[in-house]
Amino acid sequence: MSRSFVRNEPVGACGRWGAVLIVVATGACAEDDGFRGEVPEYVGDAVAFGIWSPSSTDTCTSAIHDQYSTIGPDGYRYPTWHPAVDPATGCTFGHEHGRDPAGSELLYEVGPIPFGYANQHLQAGGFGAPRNEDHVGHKVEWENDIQMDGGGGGNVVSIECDVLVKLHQGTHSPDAFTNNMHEVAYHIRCSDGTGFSATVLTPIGAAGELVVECDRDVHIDAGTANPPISPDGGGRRGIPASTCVEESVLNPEDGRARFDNALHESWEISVSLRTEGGHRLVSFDPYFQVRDPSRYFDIATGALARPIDLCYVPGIQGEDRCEALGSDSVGWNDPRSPFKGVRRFVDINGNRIANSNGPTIWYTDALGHHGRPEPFPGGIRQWVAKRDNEGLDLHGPTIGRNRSYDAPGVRAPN
Amino acid sequence: MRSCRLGLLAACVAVGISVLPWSARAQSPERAPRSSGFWWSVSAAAAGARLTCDICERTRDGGPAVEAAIGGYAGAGVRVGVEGGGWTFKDEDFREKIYTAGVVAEVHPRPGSGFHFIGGLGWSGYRANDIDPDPEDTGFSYDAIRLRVGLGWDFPMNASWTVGNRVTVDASSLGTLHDEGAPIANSVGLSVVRFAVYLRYR
Repeated sequence: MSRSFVRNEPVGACGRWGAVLIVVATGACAEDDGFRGEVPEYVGDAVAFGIWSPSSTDTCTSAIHDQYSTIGPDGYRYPTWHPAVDPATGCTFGHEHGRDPAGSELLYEVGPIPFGYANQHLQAGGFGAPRNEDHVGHKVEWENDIQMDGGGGGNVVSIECDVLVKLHQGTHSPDAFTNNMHEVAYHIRCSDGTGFSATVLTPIGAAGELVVECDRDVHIDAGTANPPISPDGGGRRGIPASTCVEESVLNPEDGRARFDNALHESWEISVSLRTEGGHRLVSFDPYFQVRDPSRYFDIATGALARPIDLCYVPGIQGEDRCEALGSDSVGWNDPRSPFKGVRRFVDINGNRIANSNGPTIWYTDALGHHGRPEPFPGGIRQWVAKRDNEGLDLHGPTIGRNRSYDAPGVRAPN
Repeated sequence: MRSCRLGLLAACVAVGISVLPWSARAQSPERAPRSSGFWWSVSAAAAGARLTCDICERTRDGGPAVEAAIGGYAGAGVRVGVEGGGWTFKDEDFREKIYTAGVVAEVHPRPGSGFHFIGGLGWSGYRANDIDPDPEDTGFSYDAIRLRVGLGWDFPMNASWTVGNRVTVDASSLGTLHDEGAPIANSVGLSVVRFAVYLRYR
């Protein structure tokens, strides 16, 4: 991969992606009336830009990292996807952002995803407190030409979609134990005309509360959310707890430790874009899942615990996910740890749109509400196709199930 | 799996086509064409149905079909009447159905010959849903005007009874496919190809 396409030139319809990729592919670099709009002028750096710095075994500098940036629709410079290993220098960043969006058929239309765009505008849109997220938690996933289920088990309709998604899903810290507001960018285009691009800071489940993933009837009050005024949202944050570890690792019925069963995280989001009057323009509810988080919730202490410590328990040492470690002892943030949040997949699930008479460009606040056709302070630019798919139960499959984003140097926090 | 089912049905009908008419013909010689009176018939068929639209599944689903018709003679070797029928296909917990009704005409171009053309005009209604749907789940639906063309061959058994086989194609277009009552595709076509054996009185 060439490093040149991820420099920090402004990105618009004919930005760097257009120049490097699109002209070669199509011979044209046309403006479109789609998601990206006109090339914005650079107005400054977003809060999310420049917050990563190397530590421990990371060999890249902040300066190298900050070369991977993009200009958002607001003109601010944001961090964006980059490889785990810088191809120009060979240095390692110690974290990864998921699947390289260069292969997505939506890349030309939507451009590089600005990490932290919704966070940036939360307060300006009227929310009473800031919510900023770390850099390493932004995770990209995509798939082209996925076969959707439009109802009827595929006997009646056959619809294909391209999907490109990004969720801030940190699985290394206690953040998600209490904090339910996380940034999601969701782009979908389907053969039936269904399509939208939504970026929101969405509340996932109840603020301050986590759901024990291995026993979803158990909801734990884990403390006060940050910000404390975080609203409750649909869906849930299913997070492993010590009871899951007890059940599948420490005392499994058959005596065989199964870390994947114990440490499964499932963040099930329920997002909608709504107009000022409350009309639902789009809604979607993907599940973002992780098989190897570097944390779990210890119910006894009410604090974070590290799965790597289980690898040193007699009887578990060298077993299952700990096998590669043998008798070595490594820290939770060591690249050799098998628990670093690199095995992830996404259930695309339902995609509903009701905008047959509306404009394609809408501006909402960071939560996806109060949508209007014209910009306003704190407004997030969204794109919604002129389409109403009410009645079409357009569900997508799981994507990325067999992928691992492990790479040289990658370690928790990731 | 679907093609296997369709193949099995087609094989059954082929056996019917090859056995019934020949045994019938062995019993009854060619006869003079009727020109008056009434007639009725029933038929069983192996049929393949397919919706056609931008988002429609491109597979032709094969399943059994039945039809009944009644009418009179409009002239020598010309039958006209009304018909109704149904077709179904099941895939795991999902079932598709097509209902038909309309007028039909069967014309023997050569008096005394069993060979005849079939034409018709009517309605086709497509319904598809889970076998055990939620109470509020109305599933997919489609209704359109239907044109029928086909060929048939009579094998008289005696003065009143005839068996035979026929191939018909039903074609509908310009209908709207609905899911849960909401339109999801316009200008939808529906085609049904039937390989049938029939029994007719008079």
